[in-house]
Amino acid sequence: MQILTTIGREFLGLFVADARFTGALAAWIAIVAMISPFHRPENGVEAVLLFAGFAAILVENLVHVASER
Amino acid sequence: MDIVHSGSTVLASFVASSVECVEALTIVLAVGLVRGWRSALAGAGAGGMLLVVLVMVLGPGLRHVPLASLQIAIGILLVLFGMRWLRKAVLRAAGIIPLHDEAAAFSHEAEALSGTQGKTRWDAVGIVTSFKAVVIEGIEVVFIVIALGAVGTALVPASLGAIAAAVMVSSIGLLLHRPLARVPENTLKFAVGIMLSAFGTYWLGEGYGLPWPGADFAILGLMAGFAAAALAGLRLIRQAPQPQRF
Repeated sequence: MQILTTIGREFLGLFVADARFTGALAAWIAIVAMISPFHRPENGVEAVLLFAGFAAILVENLVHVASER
Repeated sequence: MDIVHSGSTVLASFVASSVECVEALTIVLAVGLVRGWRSALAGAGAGGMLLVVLVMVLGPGLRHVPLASLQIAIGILLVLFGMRWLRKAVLRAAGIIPLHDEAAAFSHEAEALSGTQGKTRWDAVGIVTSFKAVVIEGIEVVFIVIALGAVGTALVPASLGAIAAAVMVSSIGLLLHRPLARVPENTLKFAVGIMLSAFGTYWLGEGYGLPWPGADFAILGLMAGFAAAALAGLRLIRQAPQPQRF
């Protein structure tokens, strides 16, 4: 039973890092999910924005962690 | 399946699996040297078989899920997983958190395992420790193989990459009888983080119905983009005043 608990905790830990970081990623995913059904550009701008959001969250979190040390 | 997808899938699966296999090998080696090789290899073998069964059951089973839903679900999980690895790799490179030390992990594990009980024919502690190590490290490999293989219909290339990594790492480790401490683990995790984040973002966009510029080649552009973002973050960290370093 303890092995199952350890494995379950380990599996959850694969996806959840810093709560602030994971929360920001989840929020961006949700925002894009909400607006994508209403806007269908053909030039790929929205897809690029999806990536840009993730990149911005990564850089911001790295700087935030560094500034707190 | 085109060469961009299959090549990237095999590479991502191989590199990610190599990193996890090195970590599992460290513990299996400690078990083998302290508690006995029969127990270490029995536990590792049982763990490996469980992982193979998981892939064989879950991988094909996901094909029954509607494609868009699968792309979104797998995309989200790959983004969370990949960016976690990427973030940690950058923080280690910047010295904010310490690098993973396989030699220290080996010593710690060997010390924890050594006790009054000598090497016996079948040692329960050794078998369970070895089994847990392989399963816990292997769960990440299973996730990567299934995620990359199920959405991109590349279960075979993803599996082959993982198997090749497992065979390579265990052969070298068992030959040397010591942990692979000189493997550039953080560099590999950095690369895997980039690849998985790119794959996850790509599949998420596909699931949302967003057209990617350059179609399948967008994955390569995403990899370059995540690499640039990570390196920019690393540069910003190094430019800021740092009170603590490892």
